[in-house]
Amino acid sequence: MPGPTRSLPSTPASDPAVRALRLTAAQFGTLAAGYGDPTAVAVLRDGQLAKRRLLLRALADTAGAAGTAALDLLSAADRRAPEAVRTVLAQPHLDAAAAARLRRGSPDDLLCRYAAAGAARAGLRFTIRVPTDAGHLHLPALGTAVGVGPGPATVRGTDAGVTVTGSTGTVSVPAPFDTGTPDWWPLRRLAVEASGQRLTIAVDDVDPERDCYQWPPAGRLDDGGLADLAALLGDAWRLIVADHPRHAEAMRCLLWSVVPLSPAAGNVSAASRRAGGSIALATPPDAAGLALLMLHEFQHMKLNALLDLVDLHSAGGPARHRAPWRIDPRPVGALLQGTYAHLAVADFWRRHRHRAAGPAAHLEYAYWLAQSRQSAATLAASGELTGPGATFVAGLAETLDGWHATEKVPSGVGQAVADLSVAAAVSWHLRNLRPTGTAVDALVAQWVAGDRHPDLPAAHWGPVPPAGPAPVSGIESTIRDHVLNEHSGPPGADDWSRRLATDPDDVEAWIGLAVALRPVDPVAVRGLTTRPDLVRALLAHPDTGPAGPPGLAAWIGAGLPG
Amino acid sequence: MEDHRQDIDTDVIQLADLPLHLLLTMEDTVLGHSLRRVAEEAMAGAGSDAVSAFNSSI
Repeated sequence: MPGPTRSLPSTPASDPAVRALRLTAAQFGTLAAGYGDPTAVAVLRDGQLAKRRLLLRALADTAGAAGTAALDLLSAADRRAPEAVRTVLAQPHLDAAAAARLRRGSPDDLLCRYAAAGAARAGLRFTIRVPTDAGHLHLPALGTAVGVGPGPATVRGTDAGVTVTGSTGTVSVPAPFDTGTPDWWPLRRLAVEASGQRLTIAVDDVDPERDCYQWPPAGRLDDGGLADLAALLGDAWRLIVADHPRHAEAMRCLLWSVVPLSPAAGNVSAASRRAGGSIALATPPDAAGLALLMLHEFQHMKLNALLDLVDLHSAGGPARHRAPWRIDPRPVGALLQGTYAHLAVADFWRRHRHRAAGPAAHLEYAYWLAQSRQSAATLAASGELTGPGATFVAGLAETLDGWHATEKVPSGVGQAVADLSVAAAVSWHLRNLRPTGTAVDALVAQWVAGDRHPDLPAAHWGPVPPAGPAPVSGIESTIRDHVLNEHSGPPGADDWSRRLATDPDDVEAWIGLAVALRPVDPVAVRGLTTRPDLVRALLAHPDTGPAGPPGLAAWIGAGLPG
Repeated sequence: MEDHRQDIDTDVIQLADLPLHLLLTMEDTVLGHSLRRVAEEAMAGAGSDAVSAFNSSI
């Protein structure tokens, strides 16, 4: 099996005719602020197209005879109709497919498929053999010939269309390949418009390479499913254009397709570094939900495209950072992704709260704003950002800080968010940190000696919790119910201390204690939100005497920078 | 940590409109760091194929 055989040069491009894509400081600044002006997004788009051409070039080095012939055909199509080939190579899942072929060193099937699609779209007269997938033949950017049979199929093209002849069937498709039949499933496109802003997006439910997300893709949508998605997309697009015109403008440039996910996945969405231009989602129940998913995933898409051009952080760092939306510790790259995406989540609620009745949308806005600001601070202090990365994080923090300074929420909501932030921090640290026995003994010795400002041990990591979203504690639910439904709030500190006296491992009680102390004892709360693992260990130790949890928390807090 | 508020010549060269036959016949040295970056990142495996996921709260 052929594979990459030569090491690639490390020197920069030396031909003066070949120049690097450039991002001006102003363009970079608009991306860092959370949006990206049209010229900046155009650079991202060109970067994705360049990346796919480079992948094609890398594949050429490993191609066999069939793959080499396919590249000749694709080059001929490019000479005849460059825009047609540009469209074919803009397919988001080419990236994932090409990377997979590079790894295994056998790219001919993919090259033949893309050559056939490019030649067909260019209107060339050609014949090429293309491997099928489960008896179907997919032509990127065009559609899928259904049921032509296993084994290679022969694709014959003219300027009138193509004929696909497989082992058990023949499918003829007239140009421009967009009329569906039982044997030909075209790549369908939806066009929606609001206030003169038109978004055209492919619904990719046909490309076999689209299975590159965390959840499985849905099968081909029937006409009713497509109509439902079209209606929802139209309503979501109106919301996005009205409330987020800068995001809308960027989406029109960079968003190419949507991949329906299996409904069994729930109300979820995904984006992949290897599928720039595509977002995958299970169709949510309403337009606001779709707009939120689109905004969130589009942030990942922009950041992925930027990371293909510029290193914003060091590679390979440990997963040691708290992302407030996750229970497991995250590496700096994942934290950056989440922070950038949640900036858009906060932005969505920032505007949507003026459409929605009641305090729930205010709470969502204030909560995600607070968590995003916390994460931006974590990133800035990580020591793992490059120079451009530090500038980028400063830019997004400036946007978040600006909203915090100018966009007020009802006072009850602000208090609830402060409580929820405390609860999330205590929960995460208790689930991730475990001090060593030696460290606890040394700490107890300081306590017994009466040291007022303990010298605290460095964080020691316990077993990593299963990856996933941060769990919502009972306390957090109570806090939300209190502000949203005027239910009674959580119990006071004494109740939680009594629970902890009988079970120092009661995470819910530690969360409740921290929330109860928040208005009255900031030093203890500092101890509980930063090193609750130490407070818990002290409480469980027989030599710490009758000091209750608040006293121990305040002592640990005194050892932390204020 | 250095501040960085200047134009950035990225690690990828402008190829979006380059005729394909020219790209395929170019010397590696011309494509240089861009080709190396893209190929190495693709070869790095599934670990580098970052996938984000989101559970909407509404």
